[in-house]
Amino acid sequence: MVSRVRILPWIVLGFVAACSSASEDVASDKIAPSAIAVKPAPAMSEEAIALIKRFECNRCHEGENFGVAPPDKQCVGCHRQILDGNYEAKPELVAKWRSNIHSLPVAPSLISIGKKLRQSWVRSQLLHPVDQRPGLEATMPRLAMSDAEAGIFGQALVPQEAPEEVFSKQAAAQGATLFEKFSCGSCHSFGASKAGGGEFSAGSRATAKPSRDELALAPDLFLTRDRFQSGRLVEWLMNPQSIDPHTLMPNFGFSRAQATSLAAYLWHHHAQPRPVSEIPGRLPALEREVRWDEVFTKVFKTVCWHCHSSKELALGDGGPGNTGGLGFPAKGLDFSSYQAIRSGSLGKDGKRRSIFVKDASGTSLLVRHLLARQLEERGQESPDVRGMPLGFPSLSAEQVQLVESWIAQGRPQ
Amino acid sequence: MLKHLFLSVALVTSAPVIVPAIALACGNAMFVDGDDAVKQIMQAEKLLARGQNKRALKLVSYEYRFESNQQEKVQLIRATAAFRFLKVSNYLVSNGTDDLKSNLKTNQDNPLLLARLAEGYALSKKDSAKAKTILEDLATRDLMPDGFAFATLAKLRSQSGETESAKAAIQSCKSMLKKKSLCTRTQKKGNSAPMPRNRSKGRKFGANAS
Repeated sequence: MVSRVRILPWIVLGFVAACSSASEDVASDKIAPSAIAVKPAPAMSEEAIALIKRFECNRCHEGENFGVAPPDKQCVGCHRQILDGNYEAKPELVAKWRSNIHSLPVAPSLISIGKKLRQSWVRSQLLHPVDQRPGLEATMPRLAMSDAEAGIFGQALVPQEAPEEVFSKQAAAQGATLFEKFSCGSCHSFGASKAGGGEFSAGSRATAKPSRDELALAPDLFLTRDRFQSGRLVEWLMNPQSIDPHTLMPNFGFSRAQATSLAAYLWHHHAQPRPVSEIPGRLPALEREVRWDEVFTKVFKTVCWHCHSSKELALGDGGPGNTGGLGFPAKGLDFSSYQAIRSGSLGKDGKRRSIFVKDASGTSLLVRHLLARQLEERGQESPDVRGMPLGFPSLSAEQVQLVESWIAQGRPQ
Repeated sequence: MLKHLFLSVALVTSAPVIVPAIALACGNAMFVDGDDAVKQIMQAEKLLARGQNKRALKLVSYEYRFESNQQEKVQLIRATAAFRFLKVSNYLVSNGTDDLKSNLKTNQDNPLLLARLAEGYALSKKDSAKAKTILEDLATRDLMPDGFAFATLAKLRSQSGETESAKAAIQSCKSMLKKKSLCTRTQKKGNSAPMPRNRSKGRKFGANAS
């Protein structure tokens, strides 16, 4: 149980991790120093550090000044322990849990983000996150962050961009050849061209078969122009580890000329954006009986309880959706039992309110949150409700139907 | 000598550090399936939902079996089982209301705690008005935690002569509970309450856990 957690060893582990991370930085500098002279990054402001702490970026990401999240607040850390078989629990339980972890096996490191990404991209991802990694089911969650706070984050994470570089269109043709020869598409999607297949799957990759993490973290190259600092792209392609020692992007040993032509291809290629699927229609309420056991097993326990759990019955702190976290205050919303879910959540005034309250159209608040996530995945944000599950794939039409049917039948136990 | 002393101090101070850490991360998504205390809590809740209050009460009779962060839940189950199983005069009932009132201090406006407290209040004539006020408020806000809360409200409305609204409450109860008879069942009276136990600390049953 939680009370058995030994904090001290974790602190020590944190120190060890910090030290090993620092030594990797040093080692990588020795191997391949960046050719572009950049002034040392200014120290992160106290304001930014406070925001990083408040929004608990370290639940998923590692980064400078992020610190190590306590064990009961580690999302990716916990998943990785289970996936790697290091989680101390009965083997049969770990095996069961392992089979359930598919949405968030890994998250990108933000340690070297300032040497790669545009400040404007970081800001926009914090305010209006888009799915930039098709191989990773989870996306950056839509946080309760103001423009000003996103600006502080952007400045802190990307204090200085490299000067812009212009790529010639003529070089793009050779870049296309390289792209195919080195099978960039085996990991990366390029808009409508999905990773691992189609026109980019031919050729042989310089390294072994892509790992699970490589496939999950490879960004959609369609977004390169918006995401990447043009002045860093050639350096990145020549030696990714010189910019980000932690990156999983392989070093293909491109010459400057090759890297420039590949950068030109990424910059000028008119790829089609990823097609946006249609919003699943709302299915009519089921006529058969839907009771708590079914809706709990198929939806609430499978999906919602991850963040809205009970500290009495689960490990952890009850989750950010219950006891607060990721910048959200404690909502007290607990999906672990019939009585708990019927007890609603805390409003801004500190008073409880039902999550089944209906709007003018007769849709309950709970269902509005579920439908909002379907919209968010298609680039449409609901101004008044945040999509749920936060940062995770939306529920299927059948799952929403089950919830709506249960509500329509009077929420039977 | 001094060298040995330093070595001893170093060994003692480093001992907690070199103990292998339990690889315990968040685990929010999992019931602690293998944990006996969690199993008992979940089983007791199921028994309560089926109306098997005496068995539920027995399951949570030993405080020392549960972690400190589970005490509030255990007290809730115990109080609820006591209200439904015992006479109002029983000390377990009064201990139950005391526990719930105490837990409400740190968890104000918690519908489940309030509804169960109202069940306890409803057992005594002098507190039944308080019980009705609580439950009417929860019902208005659509925060009635389950069918049992509606059953209690129905009983209180009936006692106040509000026949029609009492029927509506019964109806709400029946739409929720699988076992419809629980909506109209009167409080079972009995005097064979299982004796409370706290072997490890010898504390009085129902006393707040530290």
